[in-house]
Amino acid sequence: MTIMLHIKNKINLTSTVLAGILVMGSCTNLDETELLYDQVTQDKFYQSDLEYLSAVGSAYANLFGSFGSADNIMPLQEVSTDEIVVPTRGPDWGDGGHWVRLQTHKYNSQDPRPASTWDKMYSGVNNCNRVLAALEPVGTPASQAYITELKALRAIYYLWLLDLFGNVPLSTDFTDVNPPANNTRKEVYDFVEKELVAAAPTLPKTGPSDELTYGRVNYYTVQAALAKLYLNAEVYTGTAQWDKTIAACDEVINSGKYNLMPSYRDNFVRNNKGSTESIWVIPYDEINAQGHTIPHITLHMESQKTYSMSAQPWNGFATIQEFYESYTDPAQNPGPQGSVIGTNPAGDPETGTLDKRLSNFIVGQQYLADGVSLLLDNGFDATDPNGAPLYFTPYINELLPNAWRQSGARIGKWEIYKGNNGQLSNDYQIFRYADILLTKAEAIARKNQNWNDPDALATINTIRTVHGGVDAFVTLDADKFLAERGREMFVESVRRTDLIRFGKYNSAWRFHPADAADNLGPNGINHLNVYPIPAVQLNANKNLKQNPGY
Amino acid sequence: MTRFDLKEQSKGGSIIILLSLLLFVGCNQSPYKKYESLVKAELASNNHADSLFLGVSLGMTSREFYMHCWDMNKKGIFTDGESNTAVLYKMREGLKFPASMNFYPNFTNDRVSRMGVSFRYDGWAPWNKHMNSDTLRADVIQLLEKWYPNGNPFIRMEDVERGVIHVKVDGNRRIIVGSYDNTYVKVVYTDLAVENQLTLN
Repeated sequence: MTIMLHIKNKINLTSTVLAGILVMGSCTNLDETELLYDQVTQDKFYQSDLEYLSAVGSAYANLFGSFGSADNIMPLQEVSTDEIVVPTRGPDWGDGGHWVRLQTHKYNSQDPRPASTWDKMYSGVNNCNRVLAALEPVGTPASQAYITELKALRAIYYLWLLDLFGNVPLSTDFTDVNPPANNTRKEVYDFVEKELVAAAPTLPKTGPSDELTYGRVNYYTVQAALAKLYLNAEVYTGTAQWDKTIAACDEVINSGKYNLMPSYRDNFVRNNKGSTESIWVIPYDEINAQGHTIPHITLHMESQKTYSMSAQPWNGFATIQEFYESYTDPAQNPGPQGSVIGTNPAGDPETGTLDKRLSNFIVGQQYLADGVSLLLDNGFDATDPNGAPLYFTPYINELLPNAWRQSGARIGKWEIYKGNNGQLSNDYQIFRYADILLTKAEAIARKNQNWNDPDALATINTIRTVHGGVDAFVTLDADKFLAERGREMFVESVRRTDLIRFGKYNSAWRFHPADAADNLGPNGINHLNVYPIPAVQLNANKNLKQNPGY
Repeated sequence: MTRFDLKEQSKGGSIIILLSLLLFVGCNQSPYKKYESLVKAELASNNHADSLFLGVSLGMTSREFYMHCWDMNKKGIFTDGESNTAVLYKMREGLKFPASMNFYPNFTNDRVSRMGVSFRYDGWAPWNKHMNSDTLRADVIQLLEKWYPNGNPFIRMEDVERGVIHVKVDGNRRIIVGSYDNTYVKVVYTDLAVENQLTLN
């Protein structure tokens, strides 16, 4: 009786206190919630096991906007290559010259994109460290699972830092306030490998249709990350790791959880959650999980009318003509022939290869939302042969200062659906199955020193026929392999790494003169093959040294 | 029900009444009550405080806002901001260290009715704890007090679970300052006259 009364009173008291807390909560009914909490991750990751997930979700927040926007990793991986250029179009996109410096490899430690990427990645590392510091004392099986996931995620942030900046400091203790010195690229490589290998065994072996781990690091995410680490091991450390690359790819391929999509385009449509190629995605939402800004950064201002957009695009990112031609030129890409938008200044139609992956581009005459009426650009450049009718040409007249407003094939890879607000809800695949197939094929060819290795050739031809609908290659060489990777992986933020691995990053292409040779970078590579450490970071930490050559 | 039960029940009821009274008094004297009274008084005054920063103000049309940003971009003062979801202003003075200020408005009836701003020290790194958001928040409040020297002081409001925010209301302009994570401080400007109108509708 007494015990029951005690419990009853305790319940009454607890109820009262809870009610009080609710009343007190209503004392602060300002819209301050958004100031204090990250709603992006709440919406996307807080599905169950709320407390852990809410903490772990914050470590994923730094992915949003890292890929699929003009900031962070994507421009560093794309605008510095032959895939993407951001020309200066009169008063637009001058931005102090940093876009031109990316394309011409004149980047410096003051430039904004390396700095913002460094910040974004280390913010990710810091969020992992912060949550790890909170979870590690808990000591339950549930907390251990999240610790493993966070360590793997942190290792992937370091994988990107390793790739982009090379000699970065390793920070793994949230409480450590000692300004660290640089670690060598080899030390960072070893750390990433150790952490990923240690995490793998206990991570869930879920697939792309498993809701709970969609967008989160699982076993196959780690294997894909390891595959990419090992594929570039020779660049990172001086020692190739082809067998390890193949083994990591096989973990993904032999799982049976992933398949090539019969339609390449379906990987990138608005509702692409069902893609069987998605190993790891950023689950974007144009309202609640923003950062996929392809419509903003690539479309012409007048394209707002085509797509009934609520915001005006900025007319920036475009493809370089020669890269576009790698799809349409039958000598480079044999396949069915037909009418394609041509490469003369007017973009007149010509005969070329009808690769289904030409959906990667928006070219030719543009229309109003009715799909019939011509879209007009009344601010057209006087020397542009197309005049007012808005016509995207693969041809770009110059890098600066007056690139024509309508020049350049635009990025159409992700479905730009009507009514968007400049952002997209299409999920962005950080790791995609086709990339893993290509990674394994390349590792086999390099291991056997034979680009015509039957397994490698078969893989390339599967991708060509299934995704491109183009002819199989009879023979391969390194250049053809690289071109195929380009066609398949266009603007998926891998091009710079690919060009470096194939020894082409310092070569000349339109708008990019060849870089002066040097061997100042890590392991004797050109110093330009890693970005400079941001000056503001050097100023704030005297133990940090700039990468050689800058 | 026994006498003992009645006594205990009565005891429980007293606790509820006492707590309710405490909560009532607490709310009446709370920073929130101060805030609520201030909002009523400021809105009743019909004073207008539309100025925000760097030529941006509440009530600008979207065209005026975008043209202003474009002009400032051409002058090299504004650039495209974080993840292309904001306008970036690099602060070389005003705070203790160089910082980035990203901002982007909401429009109501095509006029700026709300402005979200984030501040971040550029030299922040996991090991540079002196540039964390708790330090930055105090620095940002000082900065805002310099930007808006007249009017009412900031009110500090604390929520047990959600942390601390600072609120300043002058006429129709409300400013809320809060930390976002270890790195960012966020500031939200709201046109209360517009918000009030929307609530009434």
